[in-house]
Amino acid sequence: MKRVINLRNFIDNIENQLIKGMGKWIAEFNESFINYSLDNFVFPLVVRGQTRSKGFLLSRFFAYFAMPNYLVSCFVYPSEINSYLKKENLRILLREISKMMKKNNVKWSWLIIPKEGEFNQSIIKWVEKNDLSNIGIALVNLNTKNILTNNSVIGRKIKTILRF
Amino acid sequence: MKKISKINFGDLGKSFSIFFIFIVTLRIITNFLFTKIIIVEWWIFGIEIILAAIVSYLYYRLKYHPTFSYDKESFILEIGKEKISSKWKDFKFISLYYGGLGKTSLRLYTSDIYKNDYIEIPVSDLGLHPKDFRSEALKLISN
Repeated sequence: MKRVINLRNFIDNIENQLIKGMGKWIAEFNESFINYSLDNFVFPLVVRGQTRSKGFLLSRFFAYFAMPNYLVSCFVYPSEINSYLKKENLRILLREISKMMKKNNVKWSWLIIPKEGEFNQSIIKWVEKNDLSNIGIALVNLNTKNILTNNSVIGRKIKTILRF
Repeated sequence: MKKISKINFGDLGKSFSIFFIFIVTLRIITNFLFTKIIIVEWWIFGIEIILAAIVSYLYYRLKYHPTFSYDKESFILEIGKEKISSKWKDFKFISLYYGGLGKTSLRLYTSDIYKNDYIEIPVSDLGLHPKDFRSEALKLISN
């Protein structure tokens, strides 16, 4: 039987998975915010961390000397918040995230947009064509569990942390 | 005011280990300097354990022991001798910070989350459920 995932569970899962180290090969996430507001947008979940992992003894030593210590973040913005999420809104959202990243020296971010249903084709095409190198975008259809990302390296990595 | 306080056996164990090793090393060195032999007696070992337990407990109370009191308006956080009191309404953002080894704290930010201007409440040391307490704190700061 197909397991139905609702939005609340999905957001909880992402928080737990990132905190438990699901993305540790990419970055170590260690702080989570809920209902975080950035300009006019309220994100139900923002998780942040850094690319240098803490580890223990040898791995800590290696991380300290070999890994750059970039700040990174992961934003979750359900499409349901803005029922008519359009390209224009997404563009503004990305602009706000970019502005925040530049101001606070955040190297890269993920933007995960889950929805209990299909996304409209114009958004799908826009995301597929998007070539932002420092923001990975993922459109997650919770009904079909289909994940669509933009074509940057950061974007493609989102698939490795999303488990249903 | 609701008061929460819990002995954190991790920190207590850490201080006990440090003091026990220190006391035993000190005893062996003084032993050797004065008598040129190292006395190994079970009763001495027992006294050392008791002494280390007393000293480490006092050190733990002064340095690590967390006590948190709060009501709808404000809170008081005591970590050992240090005491911080503040009002919930002074804070704008709340986060859960995972420090590793099962330690989770609630961070309260006054303005910018990228400035190191926050108060950290050690929720796991206080025996609170991190996510439940975060929801409660979110309601308190938005009141």
